[in-house]
Parts: sequence; structure tokens; C-alpha cells
Amino acid sequence: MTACALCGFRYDETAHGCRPSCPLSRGCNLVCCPNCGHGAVKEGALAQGVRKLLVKLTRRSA
Amino acid sequence: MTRTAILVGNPNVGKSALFGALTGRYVTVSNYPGTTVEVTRGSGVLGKRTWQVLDTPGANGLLPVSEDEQVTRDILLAERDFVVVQVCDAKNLKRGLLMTAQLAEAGVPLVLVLNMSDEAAARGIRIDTATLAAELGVPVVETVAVQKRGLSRLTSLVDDARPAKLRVRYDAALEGAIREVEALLPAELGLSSRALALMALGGDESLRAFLSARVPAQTLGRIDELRRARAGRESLRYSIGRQRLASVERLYDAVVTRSGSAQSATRALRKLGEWSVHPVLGVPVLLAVLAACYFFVGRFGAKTAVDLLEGAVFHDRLVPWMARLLAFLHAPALLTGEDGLIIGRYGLFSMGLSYGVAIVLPIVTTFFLAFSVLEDSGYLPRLAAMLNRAFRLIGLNGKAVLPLILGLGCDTMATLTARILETKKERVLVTLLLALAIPCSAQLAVIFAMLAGVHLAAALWFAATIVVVLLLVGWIAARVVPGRGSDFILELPPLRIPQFGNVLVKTVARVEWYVKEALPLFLLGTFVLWVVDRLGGMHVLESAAAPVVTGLLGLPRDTAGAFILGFLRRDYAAAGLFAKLEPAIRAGTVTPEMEVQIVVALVTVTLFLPCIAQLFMMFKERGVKATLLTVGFVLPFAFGMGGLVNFLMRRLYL
Repeated sequence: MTACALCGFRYDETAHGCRPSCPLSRGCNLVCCPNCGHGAVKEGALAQGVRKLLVKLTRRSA
Repeated sequence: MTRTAILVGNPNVGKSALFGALTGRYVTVSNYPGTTVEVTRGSGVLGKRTWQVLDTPGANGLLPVSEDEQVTRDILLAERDFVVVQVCDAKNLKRGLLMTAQLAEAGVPLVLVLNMSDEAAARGIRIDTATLAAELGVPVVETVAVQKRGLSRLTSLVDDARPAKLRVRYDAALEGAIREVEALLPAELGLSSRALALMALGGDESLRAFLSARVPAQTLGRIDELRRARAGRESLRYSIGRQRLASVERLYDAVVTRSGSAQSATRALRKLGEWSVHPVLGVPVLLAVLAACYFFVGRFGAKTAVDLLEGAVFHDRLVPWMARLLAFLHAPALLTGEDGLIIGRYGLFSMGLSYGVAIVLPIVTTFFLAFSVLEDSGYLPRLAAMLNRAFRLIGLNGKAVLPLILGLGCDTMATLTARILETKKERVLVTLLLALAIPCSAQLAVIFAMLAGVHLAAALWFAATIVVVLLLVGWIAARVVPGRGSDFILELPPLRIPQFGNVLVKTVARVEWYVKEALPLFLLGTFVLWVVDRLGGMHVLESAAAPVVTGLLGLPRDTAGAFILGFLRRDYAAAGLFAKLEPAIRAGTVTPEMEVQIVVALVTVTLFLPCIAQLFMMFKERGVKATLLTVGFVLPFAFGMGGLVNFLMRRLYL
């Protein structure tokens, strides 16, 4: 789940991929808020790695 | 007789899951008469008897702005002897309560379902359902529809549905108008006359057909008169929505508490949040945000980080190493030397990678960091709310502001987002303004970097030019393009201290995205330049462009190459200009003449054609004609404005 940075709408980013009608949908790395359309970048391998590392560090410090 | 339970709610709140859980397998799906919108009916045992259950399309309110919403409203107008089961997303309760307020005004018997309550609880959102039920005067049930949790309680309470007692108090003028319209409407129109009066005053065109069959034409004329008489600086639709939201926010604050990371803002942050949307106090907040971005991106990113990467890493080490490696490998002359493909003047390594990695990357990384901080703090929606007032002046209002704000991230996606606008007029205007004067994040970063090398007065010349162009073109276009604008109500999440983890992950994700999307285009652009140069075309192009580049814009002759790059990406063009001026910026030897050139070049590149991806999107979304018209306007306009700024600055600035 993620909260849209523009409108605050909470949605499941994995369930809201690109719209097939978008001409750039193939291989697009953005996910759009279903409420206002604000585009957030899908987390790539590096960003996911950083997120996992942060989770590990948070758990260790806790 | 079988009564009907109508499921109503915002999009994506789990209505269909709840419908499936209540009705089982046997359902009928049909288009609502006269539309292509599907409506699903089924039956199920709710409590002690069998009910017909009707699933309506997702709607954000009873004042419809789409065919889906109109169908939902029309169902409520047409059905008799029903109860409404309003399904809310417990994580986004405020949005749901806006609909509740309208259902309360409509006087329909209601049960409120807080679906996805497990997800809300996991996010530290606690809803005091007892207080909410007491305040609304209707049963409130927490459910998790996909797990069928809370359903037995819901089915046992459907019979207890009753009209909600939440009553929004509008200002005296509006209440007076509501009373007058109510008095004109006959009873027994399906929904309460107060709700119908509000819809009529809000300018609901779809309701007109319904009313015209039931009231005399003079009554409709009188309603129109009242609407016109009450319309002030803001439309009645907007005014109704704003006052309704204020009422809902009071209820929301009374029943929702957040814990942990979901804790709402402190008092100081709340105050700052209020200032940031204020028409006057919001300006210094915006200037402070811009100044912080300017110093962080322009000074730190464009100077310290670029100096390190471009000078110490690329120029002093990597390029010589690559040259030695190519020599060691006995690479052909085509790849090496002054005109080589790898390390020449237009070399993929010495120019393409150098621009992309050593110049633009540190600048966009610092900008992405700043943008992620702004995003995570909740400032962006406040900026949208504040700019909403400014854009009203040029005929753009409401939702049209959102894509323009989104354009600061990526113009291409913002062009797609223009779909959320309800009128063709707004879509065309927003697409034009995005293509013309809204720099994307990468371009904005390079602009910050270049402006960091000039005096404040020169930077203000640039900013003022872009703002004037945006307002002027928007104002003219709003009058030329036919159609009406639409209003919006944006829910403002609390302003908060940005979370380090969120900011870091967002920044890394954006940098990763930039490297994947932009770098290949940088290399392609460099390759095109290299081919053109090898074929002797660069000299021809520079000669052909000289009357415009040197004559009209007063820029060095070789700047023409940067504009060619601009056809691929505007930030690449800006990077090309930055690379030419960077030695002087770094050495602090920028002359007033060079400052004029920097401002002129930036104005021209900012107003220049959108990138290739955005052009594709424009073709797809707006069609060939609108795109060609936009391009046909933007290209000469960009050079014309650059020429005008050159003319004015040489007389007023030097």
C-alpha cells in the first residue's frame, strides 16, 4: 500500500499498473494514483534493495 | 414485497467484493438504460428476509461529473422503497464521509460500511465507530469484504437503516437560495428537495432533463436566475463542495485518531500547513521552498557535486583512462581523437555519458531528493490548492492545476493525467501549457543549476518571463478554446516531517528511473550529433540556424547543437547549454553579457518543444491535429520569446 503524495489516497501500487491505453505503457516504470493521477515511480531493483536494507536496519535497532 | 439494498460508494472501496459476498453466484449484469454503464443486480438473504441487491458504479458524489456517477445518482432518483448501503474505504474515510453528507441531504435510509478496516488498523488509523454512529444516527459496521468479516453484523443491521442526521450548514446566502429552490420543487421526486436544490444550484446539467419533465419551464428559468444571482467569485458548485468538506472534516477529526507514523501533524506543522494554502501567507512559504531548492540543487548539486563528478572524475580521470584504453586496444581512428565516436567532441563517452552522468545526474539527484522531501511532507497538494486561485485568473481552475503540478515531475505523465479533466477545453489548455511552459523535473534541475551562476536580477528575468508566458498564453487560450472549466475539491493530507526512509527510497527509485529512461536518449542524441558532424551537417546546421541563434537570440553560433538535442529531451538541451557555460560559472567569471545569454537560452529551451515521449503522448491523447497545432505554435513562440527577452535585456539589463 502507498499513499498518493498529492491527494493522500491510499492504494495498492501493485494492483495499479499502467493503463493499457497509454502509449508508453510498455515497460513504463510509473504507477498512477487511481484518484488524482499523480505518477509515482515504481521501485526498481536498487530502490527495493534500499528499502529492504532500511527494514533490516530498523529491525536491528529495535 | 422484496426491498432493494443499493450499494453506493467511491471507486475502489470494495463494493463489488461486498456485493459478491452478499448475493452469491446468481446475478444479472445489464447496461443502465441509455448508457454503456453496467449495473449488477442479485439477491441475498440479509437478516431475516430476502433483499434485491444492486451494485452501482463508483461515484464520488451525487453531483455527477461522469456518466458512471450520473447512473448512480439516477438509480437513487428512480428506485423506490430501498435502503442505501454506503461502502467506504476505512483508510480514506474523509472521502467517504463527503458522500455520506450528500446521502444524508438526500434523506435516504442508510447503513454505513467501513470496509478494509484491517488495512486502516494496520496503518494506525482508529475509527470510533460508536461516536460515528451516534453523530450520523445510522448503523456503522466495520468489514473486510474480501474475507467476509463483519458481514453477519452488516446483514443484521440493514433493516435498521434510516436517514442520517448529519446536516451541513451552508452560509446564509446559500441556505437562502436552497430554501427558494426547495419551495419551487414538487415533493416525491425520489430524493429530498434539499438535495435536489443543491444539485440544481451546483449546475447539474444532467438533472435538468429529469426536472424539465416534472416542473414547468418557468421554474427552471427561476432556478437559473437564482444560480446566476448567487454566483460570486467562486462557482456555487465549488462553494457547496468547500462548505460540505469543512463540515465533514469536523466530523472526521472527532472520530478518527492516528497513531505511530500515521500521527497527524503537530500544532506548529498544522499552522504551517494553514499558511501554505493561504493566498497571501502561502507566497512566502512558496518562496522559501523555491529558495531552499535553488540553494540545494543550484549550489550544492550543480556546483559541488558537478565539480567533483565532471572535473575530478570524468575530465581528469575517466576520459584520459578511456583514451589510453582505446590506444592500448589499437582502436580505429573513427572511435578516438577529436572527432571520434567514443571520446571525441561528440563522443558517446566524452559527451553523452559526461552530460548524462557527470552533469545532469548530480543535478537531478539533488532535485529528486528535494522533490521527494516536498512530496513526503504533504506540501504538493497545498501548492496545488494555492495555485488553484492563481490559475482561476486565467480561466483554468480546479482539477486543471493538478496536471500542471504533476508536470513538474514528468510532463509526459502529466499529459496523460489531463484525462481526469472533465472538459475538452481544459484538456487542450493543459496539454498546451504543459508542452509550452512547464519544465519537467530533470529540466527544472538544470535550470536551477544554471540560474545559480547568475545574479538574482537575471534569475528573476527568467522566472518573470515564464510566469508571464504561462498566465498570458493560458488567459488567451482560455478565451479562444470554447467550453467550460470544472471545479475540484482536493483533500489535504496533514503536513508532516518527511520520513527519512520514504525520501531515500523515492529518490533512489527516481534516479534509477532517470538512468534507465534518459541516459539511452542522451546517448542516442549524441550519436545523432556525431553522425551529423561526420557528414559535415553540423556546419550546415549552424549556418542555417545562425540568423535565429546568433541574430535573434544573440547566442554563440555553436549553441545550435544544444537546440538539436532539445528535440529529444529539453533537459539534454539545457545540459548542453550548461556544459558550454559551466567553466565560466565555476570560475565565477560570468559577465552581464553571458547572463543575458543564459537567461535567453533558458527561456528558449524551457518554452521549446516537449520531449519525444511527451509528443507521442500528445498524439495519442489529443490527436494529430491538436498536436501539430501545438507544435506549430510552440516552436516559433519559443524562439520569438527568446528573441524578445534578448532584445529587452540588452536594453534594460546591460
